[in-house]
Amino acid sequence: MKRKGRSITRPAVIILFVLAVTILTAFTRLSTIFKQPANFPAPLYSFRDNAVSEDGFLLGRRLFYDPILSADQSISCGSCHIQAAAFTHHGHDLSHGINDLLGNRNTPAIQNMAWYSSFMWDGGILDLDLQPIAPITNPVEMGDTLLAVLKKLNAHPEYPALFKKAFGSDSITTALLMKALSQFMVMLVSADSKYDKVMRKEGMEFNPEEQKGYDVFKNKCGSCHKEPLFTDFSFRNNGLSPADEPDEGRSLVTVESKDQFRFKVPSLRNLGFTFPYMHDGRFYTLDEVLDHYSSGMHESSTLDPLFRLSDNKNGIILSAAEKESIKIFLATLDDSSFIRNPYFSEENAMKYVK
Amino acid sequence: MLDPATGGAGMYWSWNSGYIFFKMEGYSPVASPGKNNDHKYRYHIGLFGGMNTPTVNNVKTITLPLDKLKISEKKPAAAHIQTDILKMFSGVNDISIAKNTTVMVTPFSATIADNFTGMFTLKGIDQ
Repeated sequence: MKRKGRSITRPAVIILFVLAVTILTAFTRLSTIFKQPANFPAPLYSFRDNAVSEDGFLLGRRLFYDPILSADQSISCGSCHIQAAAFTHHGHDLSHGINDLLGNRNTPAIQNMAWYSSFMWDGGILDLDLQPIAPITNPVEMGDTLLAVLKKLNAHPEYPALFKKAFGSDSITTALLMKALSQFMVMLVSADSKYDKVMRKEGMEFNPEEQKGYDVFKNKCGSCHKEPLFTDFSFRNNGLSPADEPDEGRSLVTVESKDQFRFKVPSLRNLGFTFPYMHDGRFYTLDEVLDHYSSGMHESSTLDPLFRLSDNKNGIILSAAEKESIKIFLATLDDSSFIRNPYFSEENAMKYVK
Repeated sequence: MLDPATGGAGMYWSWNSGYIFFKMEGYSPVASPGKNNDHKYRYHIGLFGGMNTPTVNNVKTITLPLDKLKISEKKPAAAHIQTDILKMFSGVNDISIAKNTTVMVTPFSATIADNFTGMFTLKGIDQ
């Protein structure tokens, strides 16, 4: 072995080193290119209008974690969208913004956004590039105005240069701010759970319990929580009893009585990290969620027809064993590489200056 | 494009993507008292028909006879367009502050939007 090592001449070692560095650099660069997972459909986001670049992604990441976007510089996007919780507000039923003001809904996960055609629990926002305006200007979230945010960014010692690098202009506008944030958000792709590796046949298989759970899931849950994104992106009333001050959900946007109490079907990816559940975070465990579906539904005129059973009953017929099976399968949707990816982390975001 | 940060500030619904086309607020003794008992009326008229799900479409196209307007390099030209705000209450449809104190995204917004068409008149051309 030693002899073999010695036989490598010095120039060859240098060449190898250069090659390794080049490959490593190329690999780092490559990771900013949006990739469609083999088991996913084509994304909907318009990359033609906003191609992801490394500089754009790094800028978006820094903005996402910078509380400069809020009125009193206390709340960043990342305050309520925490990576360790798959970009939800870990453990919070409702989220709190500036001055401890409380919002009225549970923070949705930011994952696989490139496949969504509407955003928010009620689907009121129609383009990812328009999404951040809502939390920035909502008085109980970041409570600022776009004009004030742009002033702060344009007067900042570093941001104008970072925008210049990413977009060729150091004049920071609403459109460029939105594009930078989108470049970070579309890269938050979660597609490396056990489920994905099984589906892509990457040398992994479900164990018998998981396979059983998968079969029950497909039969009882899969029509709304459609694979591979585990949502069909529709809005449905899943029989939650209205709160004292009822949140009417989708009908606030469409002003149609048929949409009352309808909310977007959420993805089930990374459920293990995103409790509590439902639009108002009322359930802290999956057991509560499954019990709701089997025996806790509230009757109302807009209750989704899929939940209507014979004999005026409603819900999903689930045995205790089936519930356990479903939970075992759902755990295969947890993607720990997503929540630990250093490329998405707050720690690395704040290191990025130029 | 109208920037929601500047020209469009206060004229954009962030939670329900789209511009507000017309906004009018004020106080009137006939307005319902409201939570603050201040008899404030609010009209925020928007809605462009929706992208994926159809909504009310309050976009109006208004054509004014500008064919006489000649713009040359030498001489700047100006068109004077007058807006009759009162038409909001009595154009095609009669609107009552007492009956409809707050109108935003409900289908009634279309009744108000219908009044916009007669609101603008060309008062003259300078050239």
